[in-house]
Amino acid sequence: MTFWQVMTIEARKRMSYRADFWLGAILGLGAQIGICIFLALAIFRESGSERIGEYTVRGMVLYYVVVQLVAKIVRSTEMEMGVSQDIYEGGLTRYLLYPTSYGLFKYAQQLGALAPSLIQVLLLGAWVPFVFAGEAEVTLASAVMCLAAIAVANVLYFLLGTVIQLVASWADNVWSLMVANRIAAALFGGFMIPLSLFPPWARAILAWTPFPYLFAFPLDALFGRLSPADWARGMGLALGWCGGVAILGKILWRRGMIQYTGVGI
Amino acid sequence: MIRYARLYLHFLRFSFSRAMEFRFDFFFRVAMDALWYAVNFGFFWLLYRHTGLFGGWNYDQVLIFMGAVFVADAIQMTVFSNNMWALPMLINKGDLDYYLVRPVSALWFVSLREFAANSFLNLLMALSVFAWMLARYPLSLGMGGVAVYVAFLGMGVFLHYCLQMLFLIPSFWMHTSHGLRDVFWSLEAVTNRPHGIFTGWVRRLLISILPFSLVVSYPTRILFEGITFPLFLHMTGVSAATFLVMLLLWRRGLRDYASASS
Amino acid sequence: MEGGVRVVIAGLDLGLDDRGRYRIDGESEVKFRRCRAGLSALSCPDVIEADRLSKTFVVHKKEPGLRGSLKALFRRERIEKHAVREASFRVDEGEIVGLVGANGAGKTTLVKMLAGIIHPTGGEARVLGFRPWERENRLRRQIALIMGQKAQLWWDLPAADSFLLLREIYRISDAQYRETLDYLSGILNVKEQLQIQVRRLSLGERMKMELIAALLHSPRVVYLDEPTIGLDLTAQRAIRDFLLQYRERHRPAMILTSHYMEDIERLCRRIIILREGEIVFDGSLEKVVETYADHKVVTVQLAKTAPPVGDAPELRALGEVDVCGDGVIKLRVSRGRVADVAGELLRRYPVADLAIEEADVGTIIEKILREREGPP
Repeated sequence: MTFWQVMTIEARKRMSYRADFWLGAILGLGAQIGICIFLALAIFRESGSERIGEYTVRGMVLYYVVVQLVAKIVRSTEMEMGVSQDIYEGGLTRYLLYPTSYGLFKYAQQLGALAPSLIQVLLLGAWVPFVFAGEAEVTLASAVMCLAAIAVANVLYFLLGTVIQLVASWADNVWSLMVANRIAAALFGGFMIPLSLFPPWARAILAWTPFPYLFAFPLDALFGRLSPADWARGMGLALGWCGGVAILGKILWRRGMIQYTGVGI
Repeated sequence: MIRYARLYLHFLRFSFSRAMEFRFDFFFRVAMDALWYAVNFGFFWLLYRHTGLFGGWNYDQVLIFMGAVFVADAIQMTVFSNNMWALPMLINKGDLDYYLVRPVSALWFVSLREFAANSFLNLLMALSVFAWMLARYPLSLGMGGVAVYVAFLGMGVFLHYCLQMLFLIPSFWMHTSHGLRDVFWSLEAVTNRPHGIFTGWVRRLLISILPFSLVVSYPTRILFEGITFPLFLHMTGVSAATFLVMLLLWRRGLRDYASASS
Repeated sequence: MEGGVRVVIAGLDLGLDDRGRYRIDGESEVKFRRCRAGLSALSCPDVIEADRLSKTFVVHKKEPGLRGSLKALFRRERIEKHAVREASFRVDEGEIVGLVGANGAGKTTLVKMLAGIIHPTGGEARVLGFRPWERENRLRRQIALIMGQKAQLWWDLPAADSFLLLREIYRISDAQYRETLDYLSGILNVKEQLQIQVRRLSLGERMKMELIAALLHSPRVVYLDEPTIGLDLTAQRAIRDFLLQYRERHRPAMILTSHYMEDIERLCRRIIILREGEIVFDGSLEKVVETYADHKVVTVQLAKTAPPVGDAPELRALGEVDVCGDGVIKLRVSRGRVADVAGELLRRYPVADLAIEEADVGTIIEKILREREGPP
């Protein structure tokens, strides 16, 4: 119940600024999608090829459009630095007094903050199936697999960001580390360019990192490129990464709380 | 002018004094930018495995373009970014009050008050990468050409500042800046891509009403294609017009400033 | 002298400095007011003039709950909030005027309009002859704003560094800067703290540094918005004493807002009471008491040998009983009957001490703020 309460309060807070909502939906996300479309078209136009890797021009445009929508949900409020701010400013104190888990509280806030993003994604993504009909093999099963993969990716991204922010207990500013995480996730997660266009040796190395499960894996699930067995294996690895990062987070949290003074840094 | 220069020296002194206290931040920022450079170079390296040209430029040309992007970004991060980040909060919390009672330009004060001394190393790093890209270019660019390029890049950085202000000033009326900031950062991605990838009315939009392509792309185009009078006029005209619009909007914003209660 | 003017009166050759002061034979000093309109000392306009100044804010109403939030994405109700309504008053050089009112009465909004921070929605105001919201540098060099709840100094640097910047901003000469800083830090007793980071200072020390920062350029108009808020008693007293001394020496026009009655009673001879954006009283503190206090407080200390006195009907007939016990009787008595009641108490009881005091100003003001009708 507390989780739900926290989620709905955060959702209401986010939707109280309607200008932010409409600007973020129409102009912000729209601009990002637009730039990616031009990028994809330019690659094909100037290379003169009809196919690059496994993609036709429409396929690549579809990829970039969908990856933007998926990233909007997976990333959520990542650059708002809530955890590190609580540590720096002493705002963590009140959470320590609540009879609840700080991590769960923060995740509930993150989910609540997704509310406007979900509406924006629905508004801007509604046209995609019609415009790109037939371009990819999307079935009900693949859609469900994609949604499950997005849910796990959201948790994984949250955990990675939180672990980095917990370093705030020792370091004077962790903003750069968060940006570094975002940059690395963008390239190695398939946000900037499909992973299938990486050379085989690079893909082999990336398979040992959590990044492919953030964006590329949900998209592969959606476009029917994964068999149920592949999907299950990928989900297992993604959940394994979640578990590993969560354990690291727990260790950092315990060590960090020994340092915490409650009055900010 | 001299007075403002002396005031700015004070800002620099303050900023460096403060930045020295945050040692980790210096190193983290250098690591962050190094990763950003590597990821961008990696992105274009992957891209050029599948195409010979991108936005009309070959790989060596795009590397110079990226070097210029890094320099423009480093200047923006060092000189403007902390101030731009703080402006909506100053407006919403009513902390703009003290800037408005001083006998100096409030716009100048809020735009330049904080110099991010902890990004200074990044600026040096960006300049080095840029110089390296220019030096490794197989064709001769000429000192004159490079000088003109650098001058137009400077104009591009100023234009970037004006554009960012245009997206922040509405905080006077909207009392929130998240939406517009998101829009700005989404559109700002245009500056990291060669202008040649855009076509039709979008291309025209990005060199006129939303002149993000004029920040780095157009100066780079001038470097490779040479300066012409129409290009010169276009760049200076649009930059001047953007600045004037920003100034008018700022004055209007101050007029409507509500100043949150203390 | 730089920036000065020669004035010849009846054969006497005088020199006026930039602040409008002159000396005869180096002995005496007479002040002429140098007005923007020209040298018309005797008919100089007030330092601060407000004429039907008004400010209205537009706020949005939202229904509670998630449904209300979704609804608000598409439509919202606008409400106008009248923060200040047709405020008219004048403040002269050397006056400290207290602005008093409940939270949200419009005090800070009024001050901010006069400081030029926000534009009014109606009316007119002049400060030293200038419209404040036009923000001319010639005016801004002569005004100062101190807000108890907002800091102006760089948090991570010593106050001395911020002062150097302010010296540059206000173009204060080196000699003047050193003299003023020495004087202000001396009176406020913070010379030792000038080189310590502001964030490491106590609240009281920080407030003193804020005062120095605001007064370094010797402003002619000073706005103080809750300058003693959150300070301990010693610090509050020190700040009040300092402001009185400063006013004596420099004679700026000052407007003070405060919720502490001690600030108002100690510093202001004149107060303006705001209620829901309107001025309901403008006059001296004595006049507030005379106009609104219909009673005085008579306190009697009984002799040690006196028998205990209960709350008897004959006592209640004299006045409203506030205290009756432990050898003390405190009555609230209507003004016209004070002498008779005092006489009656002295007659009936063995009195060791008797005191007659005006009603507490804070209580009177509270009463005014609660009233729905206007003043008599």
